[in-house]
Amino acid sequence: MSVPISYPKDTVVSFTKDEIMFRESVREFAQKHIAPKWIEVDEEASKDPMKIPLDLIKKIADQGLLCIPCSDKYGGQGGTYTMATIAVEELAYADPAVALAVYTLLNNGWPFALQLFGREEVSQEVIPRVSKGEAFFGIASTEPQGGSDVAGIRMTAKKINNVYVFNGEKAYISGVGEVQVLPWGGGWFLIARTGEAGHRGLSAFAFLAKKNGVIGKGWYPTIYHDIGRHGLTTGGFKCENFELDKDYLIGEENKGFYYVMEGFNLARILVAAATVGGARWLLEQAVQWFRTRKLFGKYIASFEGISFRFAELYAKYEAARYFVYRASRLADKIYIEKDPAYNPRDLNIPVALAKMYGPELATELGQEVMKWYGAYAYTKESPIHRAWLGLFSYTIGAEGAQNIMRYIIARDLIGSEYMRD
Amino acid sequence: MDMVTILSYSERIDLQLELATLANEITNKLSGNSISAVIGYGIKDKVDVLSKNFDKVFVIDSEDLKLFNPITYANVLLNIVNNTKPDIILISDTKRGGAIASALSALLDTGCITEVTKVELVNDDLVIYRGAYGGLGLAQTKILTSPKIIAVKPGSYPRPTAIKNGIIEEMKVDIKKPEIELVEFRAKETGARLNESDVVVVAGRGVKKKDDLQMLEDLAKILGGVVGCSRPLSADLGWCPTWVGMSGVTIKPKLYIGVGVSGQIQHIAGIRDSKIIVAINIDPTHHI
Amino acid sequence: MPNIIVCVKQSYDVQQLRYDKVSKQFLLAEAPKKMSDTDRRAVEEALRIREKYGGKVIILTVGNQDSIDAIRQAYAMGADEGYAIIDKDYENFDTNNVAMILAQAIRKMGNFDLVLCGAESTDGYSRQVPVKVAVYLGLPFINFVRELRLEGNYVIATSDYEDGLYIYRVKMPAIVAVTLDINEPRTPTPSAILRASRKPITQWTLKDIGVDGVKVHFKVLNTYVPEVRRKRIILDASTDDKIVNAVQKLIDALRQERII
Repeated sequence: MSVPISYPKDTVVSFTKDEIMFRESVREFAQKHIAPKWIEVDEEASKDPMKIPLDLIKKIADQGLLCIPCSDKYGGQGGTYTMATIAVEELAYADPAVALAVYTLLNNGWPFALQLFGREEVSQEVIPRVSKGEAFFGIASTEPQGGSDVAGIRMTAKKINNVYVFNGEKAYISGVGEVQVLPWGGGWFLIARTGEAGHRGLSAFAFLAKKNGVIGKGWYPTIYHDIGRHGLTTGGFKCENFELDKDYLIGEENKGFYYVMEGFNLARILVAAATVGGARWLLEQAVQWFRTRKLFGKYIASFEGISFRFAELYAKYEAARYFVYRASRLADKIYIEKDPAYNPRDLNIPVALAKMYGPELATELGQEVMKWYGAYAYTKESPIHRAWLGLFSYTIGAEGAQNIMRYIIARDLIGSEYMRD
Repeated sequence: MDMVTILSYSERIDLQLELATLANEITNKLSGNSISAVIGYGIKDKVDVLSKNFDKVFVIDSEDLKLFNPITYANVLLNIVNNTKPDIILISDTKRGGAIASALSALLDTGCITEVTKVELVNDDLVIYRGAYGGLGLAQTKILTSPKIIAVKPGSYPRPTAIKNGIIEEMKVDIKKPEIELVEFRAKETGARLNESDVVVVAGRGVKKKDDLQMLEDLAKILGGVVGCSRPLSADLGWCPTWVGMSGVTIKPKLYIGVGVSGQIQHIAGIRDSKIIVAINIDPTHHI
Repeated sequence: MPNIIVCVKQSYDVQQLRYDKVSKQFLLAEAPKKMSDTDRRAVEEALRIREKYGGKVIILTVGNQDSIDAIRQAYAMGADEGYAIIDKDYENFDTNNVAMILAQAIRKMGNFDLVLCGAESTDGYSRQVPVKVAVYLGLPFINFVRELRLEGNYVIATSDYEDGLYIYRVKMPAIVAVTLDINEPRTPTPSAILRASRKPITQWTLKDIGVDGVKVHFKVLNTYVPEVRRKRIILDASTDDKIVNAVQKLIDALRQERII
């Protein structure tokens, strides 16, 4: 087998007129309403994680930035996946600590996955609320023993008559606070064990911890203190005989692993878009600094150690951005246009490239920009560390660890049979 | 062009004098007449100074002109145009003047350039300079029809020193009043004439409280200057009657001091010709 | 139930306009375009009037094929109908030409109560077109309006002049030019943008509106970036102890320039 020259299908990235107009619209919105507030949001929620910027979430919802690819019959926007990607990129550019971008990306990717695989009635119940900013719908897969090993999930969902009864614990889950404070509530695309060990015993659920303003019995949340990306809560929860109507099962029993993998592919595109938006902000901070800062009587960019490094990072930024939009275009082909020439598996490598590259570029860039700025960047007055710490969260994990992306790329190119012990 | 006739109009006498400088510049080279038009209500006592700077001053003073409307004023001015057959019509490009110039250009089916900062005589023809693309650029233009209507930004030319001894002539014309009624007038505090001062201290969005303008007033007082605002402080917060920049006032003082001004291009366009620009800002990377 | 015609222009986005560093010429071919900022507010104002009093919002533009995008944008905001007069020579049209074409088109469309325009375009900034449209149509005109409401068949409009605010009352039909201060325009949602792209736009040629040709009244010889040489001295006053030094240096520099 040869390494493909263009893998998997040739995709030239270009934007439609609608998408260009949409970018203008969302950029204007984000610069007007989000950019002036992001530092305050980050600062306030760093002291108290439950200081969730509900006013801004409402504005984002009113602007139609949630559930963009979802069908308008569920109150979605009926847009392309690329539009969701644009929205997340521009929000992250306006809020490089990415709390609001991540709120937005979760509530685009996962409601869309619910629409793809869940029951129509459930989509009708959940998506309109998420779209209006009255409910949260994210992903709950990770457990205290680990996140990357999805097949090793321990939380159980036992079917008893018409309900599933949940027992176990989820950890490092985004939105635990949001579900509690948003008026309708919401929950997660949750993975739990319904059958045998391994990935064939897992099912996916529209796990609504709270609906119609009422928190379900047997659900016990906790909130963590993160080091960055303040304004979006991370937490965990225990289920002790938590009951969910059987209709909230997504797709078929014991096929949850396959649904969540497709959902991860979709969400990862948006995660990478957030890091690219934040990276754009960081690049601008660097250029502005280069145009004013002098050292030894010379502009600092006249030192090649700085300007060449900048050029390298810019090249990575363009590559990362290309990966993101190539993946989102493919997602459009597969899930929006439903082009029969494309298969969900076609997304594996393009998404893994985007999710591997974007977060690492953004983190690397953040660190360099801080060094270029010097001591000022290490003070709390400088906003750069906020962006850096927020973007760093995606180098650690979230929607899949970085090494999982490397594994996917290697596996699909080399063949999994050559990568076993 | 030999024996050129230039007609100048502004609603403000002081701006008419700036136009006189430009008119003199042209008539000095080409020889010709420089005529001033004054139209309005209750203005005829104020025109003496104009007769010292123009060869002739036409005055149309009528109660029917009490309510300003650019189309009404342009039609009245048309009477003087028909009477004097000018080759060039200079109008100061205030909010009123620009609209009168435009309406007159439609009535006469001739070309009009607004936002003009400089007029040059090249081979007996006028090359007219105006700001372009939000003040980022400068356009060299030419009017192909006659009369040429040129709306000159206030502050582009100094007051004249030439002393003439012109005649003042009052005209009576029929005025068709517009079908518009003035319900209410709310005067703005007429602040210092920003474009007349050698030193202008401008407050931008970095000035957080209206009370802090006092510090700027104190500074301006020491330097013998005046205080102005950037657009957001004037248009959004109402701290100043007008602002410095595009669609506000264009200034070219010897010393401009911007305090907390970020330097949007529309603002820069209004201060570009200042001799020294001093910017006080917490962010060394701001555009200004 | 007023029918409102809004005249819009697809302008160069001057904030994103770049120029060649050597020739000092603007790179217009690659410059992004957008609807003029004040025109967008005129559309917004028309939509707000419709929300309050009913009626229709009709968009009118003169331009080349790019100008269609201004109508799409207005559709995405919520406008009802759109008309574009397209001509390949548009770039050479002067303000008299554009105003005359708009007036002719408005005559042909008929059945309107109010014409709204932005007081100036983002790129041209001549402020000439609205008043000229009024002259050609022979209708009353109110300029620089920053507040607008209807009262029966009358428009009550607040004009912003250098010396104060003039509140006028005029019977419709009338032409009103609005300023940037009149409102904050809405930013359209994805679904509104998608709906807009499926909505038909009426395209007319000059012939369709009975214009045989245009006579150009002025021409632009050259547009360039003027060179301003500045010394670009930066004085650091970022901490209390540096202020005294910076101020002293500034005073010295101003003395040297014989400013003080």
